[in-house]
Amino acid sequence: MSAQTKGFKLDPVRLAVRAALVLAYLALGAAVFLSGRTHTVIVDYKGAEDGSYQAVEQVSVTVGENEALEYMGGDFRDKVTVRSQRQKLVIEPFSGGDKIEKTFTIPVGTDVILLSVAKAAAGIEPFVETFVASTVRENTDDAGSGEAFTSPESTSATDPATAPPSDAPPAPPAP
Amino acid sequence: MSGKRSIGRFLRDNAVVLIFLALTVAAIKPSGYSLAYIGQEIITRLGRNSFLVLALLLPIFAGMGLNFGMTLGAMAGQVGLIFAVDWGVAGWRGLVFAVLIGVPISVFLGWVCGKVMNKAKGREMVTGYILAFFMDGVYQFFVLYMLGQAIPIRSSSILLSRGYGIRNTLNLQIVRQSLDTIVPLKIGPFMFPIVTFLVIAALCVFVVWFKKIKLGQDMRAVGNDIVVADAAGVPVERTRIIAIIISTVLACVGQVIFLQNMGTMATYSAHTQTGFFAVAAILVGGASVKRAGLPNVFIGVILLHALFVVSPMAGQRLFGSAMIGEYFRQFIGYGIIALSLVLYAWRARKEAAAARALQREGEAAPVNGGAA
Repeated sequence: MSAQTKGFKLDPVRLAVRAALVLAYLALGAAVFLSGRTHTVIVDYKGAEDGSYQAVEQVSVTVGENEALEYMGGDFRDKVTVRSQRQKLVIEPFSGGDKIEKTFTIPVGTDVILLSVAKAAAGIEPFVETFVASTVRENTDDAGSGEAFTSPESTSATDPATAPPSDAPPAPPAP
Repeated sequence: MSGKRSIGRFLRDNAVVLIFLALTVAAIKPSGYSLAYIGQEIITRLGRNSFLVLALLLPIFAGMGLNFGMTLGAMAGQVGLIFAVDWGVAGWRGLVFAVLIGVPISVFLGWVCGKVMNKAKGREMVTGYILAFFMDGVYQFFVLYMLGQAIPIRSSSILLSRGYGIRNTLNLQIVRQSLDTIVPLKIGPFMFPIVTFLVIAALCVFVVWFKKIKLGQDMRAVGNDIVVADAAGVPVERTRIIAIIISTVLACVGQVIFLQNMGTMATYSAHTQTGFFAVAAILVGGASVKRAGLPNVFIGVILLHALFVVSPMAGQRLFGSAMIGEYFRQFIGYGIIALSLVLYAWRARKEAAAARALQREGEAAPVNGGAA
C-alpha cells in the first residue's frame, strides 16, 4: 500500500528503510561521539586545608588508560587526558600497601574535571568535580587583523591589536 | 614504418607521464635526498592524497571532466573537523565523527553543484572552478561569522579573540595521524599507514564494482554520448548529479584523511588547493578529461609528489634558493594542467579530422564504385 502526496509516491517500506538508515547514521554519530569524547582530568594531590583528609604521598596514580603518574610529595597537580566517560582510578603506594581502585563518571558536557587523589584515598565521595578555569585570552589572532578577513569590530579602537597606544594624543572630535 | 608510428603514438599518448618521469628522475640526483627518504615521503603522500584523487574518477566516467567542484566536499570535511576538535572527539572516532558531519553537507553541496553543472553542459570544469570560488565565500562567511555566533562553539581556544569565528590555523592534534597509526607497519626503513591504504583499497574496489552496476554503466553511457544515452532511456541529468554527489562526498572524506595526516588545518585556505593538486595528480598520471582509471591515480600521485619532494631541494642546490623549487612546484602544477588540456584538445581535434577524412573517403567510395 502506498500513500500519495501531490504526485510524489511514498512507499511505506522504502520510507521505513530510509528512516532506519537515518537512525543508524545518528546512532553511529552518537556512538563515536561518546566513545571518542575526550576530557581533561586535573589530578590534585593536595589534602584539605582544615586537615579533614590528608595528602597521600609516595604513590603512583593511574587514570584511565594513561601511563601511571608518580607522585613523591609537595604541592602539586598533574594533568591527563582521558577518552570516554567512565574511567578507572588506581592509587598504588610505592611502599607496597593496599592498592585503591575506584571508578568515576565524567559528564559528557564537561571538558575539565578536578580529581582529588587525597579524597579518593580517604574514601570521600565525590572525589571528582567540574573544574572551571578563569582564563585571560591573549589577542594572538591572525585572522581579523589582516586585509582579507578584517571585520568592522576588529579595526575599532577597542581591539588591543589595533588600538592607539595609551600615550597617544586623543583623536580630534569629528567635525 | 609501423613500429615507428606505434612509438610515436606511445610518446604522444603518454607525453605528460614521460615528461614528468624525466623531470623527477633528473631532479633526484641534484636534490641529494636518499632513495629511502624519497620512498618514505611517497608512501606517506600516497596515503594522504590518493583518496582525494580517486574522488575525481566518477565525474570523468560521466563525461563531466575534472571535477574542480570537489573543493566543496573538502570544505564540508573541514567543517566536520572543526566540530570534532571543538567537541574534543579524539582519535579515529574523531575522524568518523567529522565525516558523519561532513557527509550530509557534502551531499547537499554536491546536489547543488550537479544542478548547476546540468545547466552548463559542456562547460562543467570552468563551472566547477567558479562554483568553488563562490562557495569559498559562503564557507568563509560560515566559519568566520556564523561559528561562535549563530552556531555555538564550546572551545574558546579555537575561536578568535573577539568571541566568534575560527582561528586561522586549527591544531588537529587530537586526531593527528589517528588513521595512519591504527596499525603501524614498519618494513625496513619504511613505515606504512596500513589502515589508510586499506581505506583507499576499499574505495578502489568500490570504483571497480560501481563501473559494473547499472548506475555505473549509465554513467559511462552518458560520458560517451549524452544524446545517445538520453535516447536509450538513461536519466542523463540524474546520473550526472549522482556522479557529482559521490565525488563531493568522497572529496569530503578525502580531505579529512588528508588533514589528519597533516595534523594542522589552515581554516581559510586548506581547501583552496585541494582540487588543483588532485587534478594535477590525475593528469600527471596520464588521465585526460574524458578518460581516467585507477592506474592514472596512483601513477599521478607518485610522480607528482616525487617531484614535489625533490624539487625544492634540487632548486636550492642548483640555483642557491629553495624558493626556486617552490616556484617550480607551482609552475609544474599549473603547467601540467594546461599541458594536459592542450594535448587533449589537440588530440581531440586530430581525431575529429581523421574521422572526417574517413567519412569523406567512405562517401567517395560508393560513387567511384558506381562509376566503375
